Amino acid sequence: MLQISASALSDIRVRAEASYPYECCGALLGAIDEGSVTDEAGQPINAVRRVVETLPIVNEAEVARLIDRFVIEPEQYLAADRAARAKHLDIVGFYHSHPNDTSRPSEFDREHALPNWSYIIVAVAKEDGAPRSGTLQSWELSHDREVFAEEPIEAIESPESPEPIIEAPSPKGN
Amino acid sequence: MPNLLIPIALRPYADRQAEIEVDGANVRAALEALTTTYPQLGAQIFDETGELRGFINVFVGSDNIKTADGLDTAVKPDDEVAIVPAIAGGM
Ligand SMILES: [Zn+2]
Repeated sequence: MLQISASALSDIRVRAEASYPYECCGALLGAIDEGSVTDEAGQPINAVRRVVETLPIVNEAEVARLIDRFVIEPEQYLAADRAARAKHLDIVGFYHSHPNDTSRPSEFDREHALPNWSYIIVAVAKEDGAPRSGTLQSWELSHDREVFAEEPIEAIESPESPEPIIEAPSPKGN
Repeated sequence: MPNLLIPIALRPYADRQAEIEVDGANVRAALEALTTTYPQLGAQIFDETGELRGFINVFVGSDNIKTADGLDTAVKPDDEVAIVPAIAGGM
């Protein structure tokens, strides 16, 4: 399951529309709770991935393929991972848009995915002359890499800003 | 022994470890040592023909082995070897 705030989802939709007709992509930063239920091979099957923030990443696909491909180069992955760890977060998944298509994953998406991450796909198409995001779904690859299944998205409150390190002195007396 | 860094999505296949010390004088030997111990991890990074999947990269220090000698790239005992996915998709 994926937990994400309405504002983070809205960020993804805005980027999908701004990138149209090209694909946008980015990382989902947050925390993974693997849960306690495992399959017979000992692998988690009820993990909860909670998104704290989204990180846009420049689509490095070749220009002629920007309409139907996204590529995050390994150096970009490493930079995203460093950015996450600097905030004490982990990469919990990725998002990308499907201009003029549905929010279902392609065979190419499945072949290039890893289990244990969430993959958000948002459809985007022109409506009354302006790009409009449509359906948004999250997908999870099975451990045997065969099935890219839809996972539930649970709305959470936007994460609060971290606790201040120095607290205001409490009023004395009374 | 070289230290192997595992991306978070693959850690469930390696007893949740982020770093594993492996024996091996080159990347192929290091990865074989890793995937012999953790065959489920092997199934994620190698395809059915035993080749590294196209989107899986391996860095020795800051160098991608694709720009070095591939799986034959030498690994020194104090090297850090990282498995790094390139993320790709589309329609
Ligand atoms: Zn796609």
